Amino acid sequence: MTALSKEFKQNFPSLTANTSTENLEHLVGIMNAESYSKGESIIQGGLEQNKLFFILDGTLSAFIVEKGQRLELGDTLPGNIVGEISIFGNCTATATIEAKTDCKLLTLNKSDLIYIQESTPEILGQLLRLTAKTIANRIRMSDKLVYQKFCDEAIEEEGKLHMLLSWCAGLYQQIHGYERIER
Amino acid sequence: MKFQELLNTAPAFSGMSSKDIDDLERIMIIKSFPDGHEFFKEGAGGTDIHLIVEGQVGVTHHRGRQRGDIQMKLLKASEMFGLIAAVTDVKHEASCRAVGRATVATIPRTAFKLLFEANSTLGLHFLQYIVAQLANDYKSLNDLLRKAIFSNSEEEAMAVLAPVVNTYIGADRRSLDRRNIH
Repeated sequence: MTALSKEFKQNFPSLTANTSTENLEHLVGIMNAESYSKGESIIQGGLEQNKLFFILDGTLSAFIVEKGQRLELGDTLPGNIVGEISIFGNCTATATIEAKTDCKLLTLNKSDLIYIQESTPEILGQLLRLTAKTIANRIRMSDKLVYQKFCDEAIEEEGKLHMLLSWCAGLYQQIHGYERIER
Repeated sequence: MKFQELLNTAPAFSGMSSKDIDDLERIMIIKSFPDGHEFFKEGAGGTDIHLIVEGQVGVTHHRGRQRGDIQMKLLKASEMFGLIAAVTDVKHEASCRAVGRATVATIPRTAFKLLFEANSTLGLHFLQYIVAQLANDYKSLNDLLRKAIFSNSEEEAMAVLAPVVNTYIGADRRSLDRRNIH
């Protein structure tokens, strides 16, 4: 097994558990090893996405920028995937991702998904199941928090707007899979 | 709209082959339900998965005696419900009832589990459909919060959040009215 395949398998054990060495080598063979320097942009929020990013080394940071304001969402570490929701959900990127440190990633083009459907369907299946569970859990959590919030607090009161928007920002972080950042 | 027609024309199923659609139709149980029919109740354990063929289904949360039931959304043809409980293996966190007469195709839970875990062509297409629907709901919430967070003014922020708030206030008022009448 090549060093890159070993590194991929070590970082993504649940994804590759049921894949033969031969198929894994094929898959890694069609992926691209990419390096990003600290501060380099990886995904631009609001734009269409055509790659899945598998983090092998380094830290990525996620944020959204609008009207000159920036909201930090959180960091993503090795062993995680970025871009799966916009790729499989057919939507534009919901956040901007940049390299917080120098990073090493493996990328898979959206156009190659058809290939892995035939060569390594177990990996595509696992990616889809993972994405479905990630989104479903985030929706569940956000539903609970949204309705708990509006049930328990009188948001019509003056002065509560700042708290409410702060809460919205916190929820936004959480539905993107990050812990709330204390401001 | 008939089931085959739905699967052949709805964009969500465009990746499925004729064989996939035939296989899916064999798994599903298609029935017509009267207005108000409850497919599952909030808090109930894992049940079946449903796809709306014709008509509408309301998704409601029960917010206690005072606030009553709040309709969170109204689902239409080609949309599935019961997905979140099935995918995350938890109890239903909302109730679903037919709004008007509705024709619904049901996948029994055991069949759903098999499809969800399968890496067959049908299984993968089915998974892709599920992810696309979940992503759509996720994106709506994302967009709502984003608009509120980056509003230019208090009025603008409240206008963005108002539809969600008004649903609660509306439910409160209806419950209060009922108590006053009696």
